[in-house]
Amino acid sequence: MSKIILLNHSLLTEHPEIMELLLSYGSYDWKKFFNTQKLFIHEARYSRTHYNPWPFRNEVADLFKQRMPSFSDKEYEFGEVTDHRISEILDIAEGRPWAICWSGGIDSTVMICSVLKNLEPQQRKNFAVYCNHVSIWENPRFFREFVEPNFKLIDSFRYEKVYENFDQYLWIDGEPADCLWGSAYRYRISPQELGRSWRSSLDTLVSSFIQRLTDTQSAKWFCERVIEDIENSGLEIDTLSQFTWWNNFNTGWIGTNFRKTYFQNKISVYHIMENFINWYDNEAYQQWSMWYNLVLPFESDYKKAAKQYIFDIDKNVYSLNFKTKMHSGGRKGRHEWLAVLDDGTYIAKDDINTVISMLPDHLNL
Amino acid sequence: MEDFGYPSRPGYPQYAIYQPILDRFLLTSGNLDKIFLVSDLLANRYHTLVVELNSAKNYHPNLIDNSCCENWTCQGVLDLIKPSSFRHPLDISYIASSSIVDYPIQEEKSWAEFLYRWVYRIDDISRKCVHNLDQQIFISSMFDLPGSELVEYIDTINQIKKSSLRILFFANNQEQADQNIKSFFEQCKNTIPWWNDV
Repeated sequence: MSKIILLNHSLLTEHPEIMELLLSYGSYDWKKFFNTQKLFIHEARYSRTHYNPWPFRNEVADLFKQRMPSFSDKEYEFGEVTDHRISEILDIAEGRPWAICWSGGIDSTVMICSVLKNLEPQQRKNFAVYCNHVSIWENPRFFREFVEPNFKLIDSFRYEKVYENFDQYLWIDGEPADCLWGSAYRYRISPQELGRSWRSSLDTLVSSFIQRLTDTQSAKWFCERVIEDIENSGLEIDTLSQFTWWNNFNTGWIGTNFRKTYFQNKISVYHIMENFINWYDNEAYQQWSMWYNLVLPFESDYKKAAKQYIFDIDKNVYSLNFKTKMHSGGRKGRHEWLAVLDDGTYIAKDDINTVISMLPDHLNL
Repeated sequence: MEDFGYPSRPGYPQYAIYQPILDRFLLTSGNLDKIFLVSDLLANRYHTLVVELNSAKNYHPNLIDNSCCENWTCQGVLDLIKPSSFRHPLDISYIASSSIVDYPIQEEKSWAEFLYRWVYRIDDISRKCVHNLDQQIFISSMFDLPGSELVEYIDTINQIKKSSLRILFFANNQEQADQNIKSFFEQCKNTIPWWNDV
């Protein structure tokens, strides 16, 4: 008998029958849970440590090697980790050409720089870059000097194209980079405040973007859940920037990594996760992230190390000084599933009865 | 710079190009199409936002123009830049004086002004090239007239405009870009018989 391992949380609220079932578990504050779903730009909220403050079981973390590694307390350097990632992906690719998803943003540009730096032209001769006009607009100079002359182009105007050419390439995506960096900018707390202790700045946290996306009570409830999670992490998480990083690094990670599966419900989720590599989802990047966020002082210049890595290749002073986080223009499409099962199949977005029959076993209450 | 960037008539909106990292304005104008085009041309360096200055609570005419806009910034602009933010002028809450930064601001402002001048010049040339042809252009879009030289002519003008903007987009040196466009225009004399008249 199959069971649910992943839910598309944002679609659940569209179905009154599903909400009615959840609300029958009266002990849990579902209203606040769903009120705070907007805080996650990706559609699932699962903890990947053994402490789980959220109402759904997180077995998916084991099935797809999404558990957070133990902090090794060893210094990692972003450039070295990025250079090393190439050899790992070469092993996975087993000779297949790569299709690199390039949004024009910092994270995916790092991937292309690493390919150009570490692979000979002969090794990357059949590689493609999957991009569109918005990607080029984000970084025209890089496109002109580095993408266009070196790679075949696949138009990413429609995301479905990935699945039309799925087995022809090993697909590489720039996820889950924002979870590594922490994305503190999303909380709209000033850089000066981000270095302060979260214990003495709870009001700042609640009144930050958390409250703007929900209501005060839900914002407080959400902060309490994250604090619970932090206190069970075994890590020293003291500042506001570390608080926001932890939330993304622990709870945002799984939803972000599965994001590419949402737009279809035909190809086994196991096959997608094997053939569509998240560049930043490996042990070394996670260790680097823990070192960067827990040991080094807060860096207000967002993604500075990544921008420096790009600069070493493109020598573009403007990009180094001015490139900033933008809302990605890629990956638009209709969500096709409500849940993923442990056999790799999906429950389609309109199959409410199947979800209702299987949902109780997925609850962590 | 001759154009101080005021609206063409009193009471009309005044727009500005805002650079979010430098946190200041680089250019003001009353012409929305032109200022968007300059913002697009700047995208090969960095991304800027077009804001509507008169949406600020403390806006009054003559507060900001192109002689001083780099000393001003705005409050209440977007926290996160989205591609869609670049397609319509954004409202702001307040106009405020900008802080001092260790960066050659004047170079950036001068580049924006340089682009602005050329945007006007290129538009002026193309408008003069099609002057008095409006009715003919309209009729040619309504009918498929055989062998109309007009269509070919309009295509040529559009190509000239596109090529000039392309030179500006990829340029990083004013003198060089000036020279490149001027020599390109020299070549255009052979394509447009009455070029010298414009």
